[in-house]
Amino acid sequence: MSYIMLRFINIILLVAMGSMIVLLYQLKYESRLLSEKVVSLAHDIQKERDDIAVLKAEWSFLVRPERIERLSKKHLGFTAITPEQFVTSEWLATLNNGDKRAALGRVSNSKSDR
Amino acid sequence: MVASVTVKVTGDIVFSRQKEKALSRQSGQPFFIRYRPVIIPEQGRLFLAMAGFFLFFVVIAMRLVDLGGVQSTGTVTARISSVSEVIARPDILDRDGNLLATDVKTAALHANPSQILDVDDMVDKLTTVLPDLNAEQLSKKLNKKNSQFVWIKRRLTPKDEAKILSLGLVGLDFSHEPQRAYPVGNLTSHALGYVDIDNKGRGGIERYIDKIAGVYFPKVNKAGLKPVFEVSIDLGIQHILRQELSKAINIYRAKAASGIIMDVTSGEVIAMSSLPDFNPHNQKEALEKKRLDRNTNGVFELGSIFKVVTTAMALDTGAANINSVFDASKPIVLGNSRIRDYHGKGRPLNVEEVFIYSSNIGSAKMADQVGVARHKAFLKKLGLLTAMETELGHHQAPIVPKNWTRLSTMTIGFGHGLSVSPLQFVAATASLVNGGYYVTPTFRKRSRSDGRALAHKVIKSATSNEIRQLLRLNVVKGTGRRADAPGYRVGGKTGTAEKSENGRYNENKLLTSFISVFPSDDPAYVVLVMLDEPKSAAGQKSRPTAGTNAAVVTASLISQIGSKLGVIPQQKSLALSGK
Repeated sequence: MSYIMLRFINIILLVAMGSMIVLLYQLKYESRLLSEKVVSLAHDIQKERDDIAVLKAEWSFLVRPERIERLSKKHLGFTAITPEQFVTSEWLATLNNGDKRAALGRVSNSKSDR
Repeated sequence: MVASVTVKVTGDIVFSRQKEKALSRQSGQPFFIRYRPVIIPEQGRLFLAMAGFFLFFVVIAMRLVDLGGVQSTGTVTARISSVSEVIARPDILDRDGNLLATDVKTAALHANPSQILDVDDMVDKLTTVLPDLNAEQLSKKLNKKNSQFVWIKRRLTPKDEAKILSLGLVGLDFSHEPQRAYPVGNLTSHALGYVDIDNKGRGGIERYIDKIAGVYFPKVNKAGLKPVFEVSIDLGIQHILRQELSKAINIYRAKAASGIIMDVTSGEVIAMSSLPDFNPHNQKEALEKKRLDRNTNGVFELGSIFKVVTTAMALDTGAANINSVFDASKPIVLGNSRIRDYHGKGRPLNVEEVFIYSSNIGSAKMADQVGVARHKAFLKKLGLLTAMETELGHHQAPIVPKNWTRLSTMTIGFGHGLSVSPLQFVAATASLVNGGYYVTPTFRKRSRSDGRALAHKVIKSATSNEIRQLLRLNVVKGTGRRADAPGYRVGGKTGTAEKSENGRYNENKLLTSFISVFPSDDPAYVVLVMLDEPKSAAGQKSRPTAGTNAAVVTASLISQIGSKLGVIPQQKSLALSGK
């Protein structure tokens, strides 16, 4: 029985070793493919990041306050906010409806002046 | 007997239990006594072989795991980080997250002349894409057939790079290098500084980032995202400040202008501008002397705005109280020196009048009453006698009189004889109006509570209150009337200093400044505006004193920035009924 068992164990081990060799080869091959993929993806990511950095810089250049102000003056006709345009909610609460409308009208009027 | 001994010696493999029993019976002893010494080498060898194989398989299994996963990812990360390692500078963002400085990758075009097929064709094509290339020089370079490498152009835009790639020329190659980009250009140049060709910080926040890089900024963090550095500057406010200053230079034909806006509690510098400034992409310009930052690199005799400090000192040390009277009817004569008033009232003045009429005589007497020793100690407490240090580095050190006499104390009382940097003075003023806590200015984002925690008390709260009231009074009915931005309760003090040339004051070359706080009932911000050698504006007859220029700039500035900084303007009651 012992001879048989030993032979049996040996065969199992041999088979295991053989299949492990195959498995190892497969895994290694697969992992090489994957790692190539990772590298190429990493390159793509890096390239995207670089592009994003350029786009962000460009965006920031385009929305710089000086330019936005120039464009807003040209196209929107807004002017700087004046203290009269600020009302507190407490103050509004003290008004009756007619006065409220008048107050709001006044605020929007002074905005659309010019 | 002999047979069993032979078995022992030869080490025949004994497997069967029957054999064991037979053997033990033969010797007449229980088998485990007879048998054990025999069997151990037999089975031991087997176990040894099995253990050997087992270990062998374990090693193979481990190697399998090793090859299968861990090792390859290791090489990949190494390769990725070597790509991005060169771009190590963090982005600089303003307090609201607007991008102020970033790294972009630019391409550098180079050629291998030994591989080029048709030089003329290449020169033709390249000059159409890059018109600023010199065709003659280029063809000379590319005709060096024995050379392997020549630069054609560095710092190409991505667009140009794509165009050149699409030409499909043989013998050209790109290498990539990071370049610092400042999308807002000149706007924040003095605070941010700039970098040299190797991407090393030169001046400003950029140099500070280099200094602390080892501590705060890993090259690339795990997610591969670049770290950021948040400064205290508000881009919008900064723009308004710079624009107002540049307008002022035009209107008053000033040589230079500078301004600072600082949060009195957190110590954050919200905006800081000094004109002329420089383009951070242009290193040569940055080094020109006239473009140096006047706020941190310049020291000035600030003139009358210094009376804010003198008055606070007199009130806080108890040398005077708000009702004390100083005789300003006659100039002070001390040795060869005469101290006189510009718009003399020719009568005794109380502290309030000294302040709002900006009396030199009164302020000199106030300082004199405090005395030299206490005067020095007070200025030291406010950080006005030593070089200030912020993230921007060591600032220009103040020029303190070598021999501090009684006369020095008197002249410094009204702002002459001691030169300090504008930022230093702003910090001192902030400390006088914020309840009396000395706060160090910072260019990093900091909360108000953190700022207060770092500050230490330098004057009494009561004195701080009186100073606020005096500053407001001066705008309501004193020399600073034109600084009033309706609704924002501006308080401030004018300063018109004659510039000293070869040891003499030149009355035609003025340095005008206006220091202000708003809202004066609960100060949140200090604003300093300084104009160098302003002239009278067109149609303006009077002398170009601070009240006629710096104060006007301040009013325009505060009315624009006030609400943006979260200060709610107080309005006169809206008359609705009847309208």
